[in-house]
Amino acid sequence: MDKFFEVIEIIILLNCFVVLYRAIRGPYLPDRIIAVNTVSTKALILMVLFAHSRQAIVSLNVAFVYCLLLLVTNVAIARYVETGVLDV
Amino acid sequence: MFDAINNILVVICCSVGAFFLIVGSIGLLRLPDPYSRLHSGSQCDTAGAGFILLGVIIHDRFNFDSLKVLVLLILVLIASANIVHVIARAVYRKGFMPKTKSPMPDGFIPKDKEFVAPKIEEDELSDKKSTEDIENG
Repeated sequence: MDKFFEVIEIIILLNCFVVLYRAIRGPYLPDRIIAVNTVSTKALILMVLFAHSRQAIVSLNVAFVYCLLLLVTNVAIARYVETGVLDV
Repeated sequence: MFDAINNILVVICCSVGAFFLIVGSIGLLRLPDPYSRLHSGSQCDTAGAGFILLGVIIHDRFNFDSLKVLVLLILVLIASANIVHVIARAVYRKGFMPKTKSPMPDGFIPKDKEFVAPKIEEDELSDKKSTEDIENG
């Protein structure tokens, strides 16, 4: 069963590199935002799988903080796209 | 017997999740405009992450750790849906035309030029410019 989780981890890692193509060569700003958002969600899944298969429970707590930071930063970036100004 | 059923469920859940992730990234590469790319990105987030975390929960049986993963699953579902909605609203208010022939709603002010990333210049930081942008979009 550990081999199976390793295969899933490798598939997700390869997916990250596929999506990074859109982040590097996206014609518009929202494309880059979407691509980076997708890569960071994949990183969150990788953290949970890592915590489960390697018995490293600490990275589960890291995943919590990462998810909350993801929400806040994306709202701020969307505000920047809408108004063009980054004031908090 | 119970182990066999459990393993089969885990394999099915994680395989479906990985399939959704692959489909989402293919859509992100091949779809034409940011609206449809947002659609494929949100599908990738919710379905893929949901199924894979569900597989981890089933494999872990009922622990304190699996409870943590369950809370994280609910958090991911709420967060990703809200993120996609906020970004799509920002793109819509900025006036980006999607590649479609159907008519757009009334309040939409299209820009004939392609969507240009907003730049911050020192002179444009005054309130006048930003309020104009808000009113236009």
